[in-house]
Amino acid sequence: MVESDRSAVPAEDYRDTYPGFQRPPALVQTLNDTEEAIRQRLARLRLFDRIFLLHRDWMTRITMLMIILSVFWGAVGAFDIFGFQSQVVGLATGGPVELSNQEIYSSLTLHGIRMLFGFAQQLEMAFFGFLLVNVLGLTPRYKWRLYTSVALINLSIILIEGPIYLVPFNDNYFPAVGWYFLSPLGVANDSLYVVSPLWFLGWLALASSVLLWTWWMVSHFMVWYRAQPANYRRLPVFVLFILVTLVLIPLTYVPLLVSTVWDLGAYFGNWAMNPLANQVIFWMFGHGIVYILFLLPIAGLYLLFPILARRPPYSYRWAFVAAVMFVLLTPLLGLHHLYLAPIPSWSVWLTMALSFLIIIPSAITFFSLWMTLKGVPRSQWEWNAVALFALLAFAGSILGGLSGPVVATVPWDVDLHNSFFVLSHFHALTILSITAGGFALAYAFFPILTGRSWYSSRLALGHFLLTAVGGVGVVLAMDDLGSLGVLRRSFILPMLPQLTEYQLLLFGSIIVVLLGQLLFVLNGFLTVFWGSLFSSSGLSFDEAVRQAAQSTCPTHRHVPIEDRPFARRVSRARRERVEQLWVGTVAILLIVVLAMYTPAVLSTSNAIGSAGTAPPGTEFVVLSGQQYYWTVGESGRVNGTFDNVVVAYAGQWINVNATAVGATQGFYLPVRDEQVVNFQVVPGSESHALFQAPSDPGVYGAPDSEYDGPWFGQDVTALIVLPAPGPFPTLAPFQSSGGGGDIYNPPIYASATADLVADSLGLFNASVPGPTLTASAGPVSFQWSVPLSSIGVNNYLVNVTSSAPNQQQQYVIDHNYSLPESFGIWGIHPSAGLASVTNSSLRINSVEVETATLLPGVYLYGVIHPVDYSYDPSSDSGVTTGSDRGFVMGLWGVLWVNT
Amino acid sequence: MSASTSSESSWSSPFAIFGYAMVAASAMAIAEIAYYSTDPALSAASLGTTGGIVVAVIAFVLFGLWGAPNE
Repeated sequence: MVESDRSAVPAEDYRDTYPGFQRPPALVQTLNDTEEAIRQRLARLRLFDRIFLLHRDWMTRITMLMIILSVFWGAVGAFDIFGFQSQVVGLATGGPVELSNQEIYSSLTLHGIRMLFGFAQQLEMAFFGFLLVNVLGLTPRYKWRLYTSVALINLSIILIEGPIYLVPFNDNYFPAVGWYFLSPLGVANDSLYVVSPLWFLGWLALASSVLLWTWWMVSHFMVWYRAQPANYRRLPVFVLFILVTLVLIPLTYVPLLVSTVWDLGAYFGNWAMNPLANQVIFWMFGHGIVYILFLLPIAGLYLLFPILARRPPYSYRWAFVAAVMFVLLTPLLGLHHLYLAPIPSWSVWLTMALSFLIIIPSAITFFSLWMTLKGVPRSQWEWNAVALFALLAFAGSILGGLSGPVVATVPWDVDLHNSFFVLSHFHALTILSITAGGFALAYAFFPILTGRSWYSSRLALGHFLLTAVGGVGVVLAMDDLGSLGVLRRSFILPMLPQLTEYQLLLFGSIIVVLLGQLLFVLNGFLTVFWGSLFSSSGLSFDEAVRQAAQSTCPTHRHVPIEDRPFARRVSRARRERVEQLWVGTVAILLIVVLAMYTPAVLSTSNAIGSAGTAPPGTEFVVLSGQQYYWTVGESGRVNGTFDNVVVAYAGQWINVNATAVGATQGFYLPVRDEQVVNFQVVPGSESHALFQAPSDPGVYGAPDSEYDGPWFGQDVTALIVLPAPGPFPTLAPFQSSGGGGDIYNPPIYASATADLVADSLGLFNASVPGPTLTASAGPVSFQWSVPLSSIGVNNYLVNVTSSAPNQQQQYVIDHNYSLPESFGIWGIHPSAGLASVTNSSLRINSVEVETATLLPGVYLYGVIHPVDYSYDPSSDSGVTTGSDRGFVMGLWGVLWVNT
Repeated sequence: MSASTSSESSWSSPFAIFGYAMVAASAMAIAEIAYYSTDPALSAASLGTTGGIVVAVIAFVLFGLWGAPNE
């Protein structure tokens, strides 16, 4: 441990938990003895001794263990996203898909969980614990409380992965749920996709771990606090923000416990489920956790800026105001993830106002940090890795922070909800702010922990450059994808050239970031074995940090590390004047912007929560979400019942009444040239929308905008916009207008030359709906095929429970290359709905030509009803492992026959 | 403007470097956000927040330059 000059009370004033005359409880004694035996045995191996610091005190050992485990989970999480993005890029470039839908979406889910909790949360716990004990000059205690916390957080990440069967090998029960799991998705009896109960137990273990660690931290803080009354000293600003974290953790993790216990009760005990209420509770956690992690760079920068600059923070009082505001506001903002759900408009407005209000503590924080450096001469500043990562965390916080008000703005959320823009904002904060702040602290603390200076300043510089360049690339690529209207978690994507280009940019940027992290790990490894000895003996904490940072400076000109007395020359009033003006300006801006948006906020929210007044001639549409498709009932100028198809006339008003079962679904119609329609439908609630159909007749894509399980990608509805009665036009105007800017519109092919070929995902030409075929009235034909090679365990078309290779193909062969689903052409008659023109059983592995004589109008082709599919490759599905059933549509499209 | 010292007026002081980084990050964020304003369907939804952010960034820089040094 490092001696601190900040300690008000000498270390010897603190008695350890168990003084020499008092023996610890038997269990603790046994644990201590066991740990000591293991430690001594492992310490004989140089590899373990050096890496895990087995020769050091227990606090240092546990801190190092947490850092190593957090880096481990970070590496696994990086591998997850590498796997996911390789599949996306493979699909976008016409390559094969190697992983199952379940594996692909599990990769994404586990990427989020491992990064957020295994890596970032654990790293924050390691650093904050190390800091609090060192800075307050405490003797660490309650070792087994901390050990248990560490064990639980790492156990939680393992549990969340779900069961893995070794014989026969089956790892498909990984959770394809989404880290922001939204009840009732995954809950048995409520959802078609059922996650393993281990998933919920993992979340309980995670919450228990972090709450236990908080108890450990508070216990130490109280030891310090009780010793202070007669000789109270002001806490350093960064300790204030650590305390903010300790307050926010129960306010954040207890809601997680509540929503998880509720899910488990519904899973096993048939407790009544109210998904909307459950989601509201969950988002108190889902949003709060981001701020808890964001406090890592904030506390880190408030620690490092004064140390590196050798002067105190600019304004203690305003930092205190910011800390209090973070505590008060953070728990209240979760609802802004549910702007498009049917919740009261006043609560939506209030959440938006509070979301704007939390800009103030952020504005105070980064202004104060910047001003802390004002007046620091260049000659007293060293650009080592600590300073560089502090710079990146500072800039990254601003980059990510400024896009925050955007996603907090309700009318804009209609356009961007769940789009890649949200991911761009989020990853600016996670990579460029939280992770960069964590690395700044890591470069400062590692030599203190290990007793060795960093091995290579060049590797540290390379780590910084690759992280910065790759991180910015990730943020930009995600922003570009968001600007096109691409939804997050999108795996099946429109085959647009610029979209493929951005996906490649994203993949390349991810690789650059990962290469950077390899340099960090390599440097750490080299440091513990071959780094020069580092001693903090006789140094203050600040001096030790400066000395540690110096070992990462690529130049040989170093600034002195010694503390120097700092005498204030500028009065507090003068410094605070500018803070007051800055905060006042921000507050006025927020009030003005909020006032501007208030009417739009209320009208947007009211329109989702209650049915609007329908103008004459409105088409009434009842949407019933079935997890992977909508059943559609229409009355008005068009009457009928469809699956994943809505039909209306150009410019006609459409009044939607929507419900859902199994999972929250979203209806996203991104006709960018005219309007974007976007609303969430939560099971147990009704959502509404009143909008005009686009003015150009054509076929528009409306994907599900809420992740609802492994066949999320296949869930795209077609809005068929009919021309006014009269001659039926071609789709030329629709094509020339770019389909209104809706990228999810299926491509358009002339039927006579179309060659529809199914892929391994059960889609024609990698598009869902399949390509829109055009023809003139009269004899119409098109060619299609479903190759035998496209049939496999991941293709929903063949419902065979087996993991044996080619069993699905053998099923097809055994059934004479014919499947029971009907494939054909159906006409859409505005007055009566669907009418079959021709259909027969689905033929596999032969080139078929569908032929019919058709009148002008709109038709559906393919398999136009969902296929009931159970993904159970090893017959292991059940209550203890999870199960996965889907009603999936993919092999269908629209046939447009003009006059 | 407050009386400036030789250190704070230096283009390469840490205050200046962090200022450049802040301006670059803000410019990138505003460019990302403003991109949406070029879309006719989205501009009305974006202008208020975008305008507020631009004014805030300008105010951040001006107040920072005007404010007293940390001395």
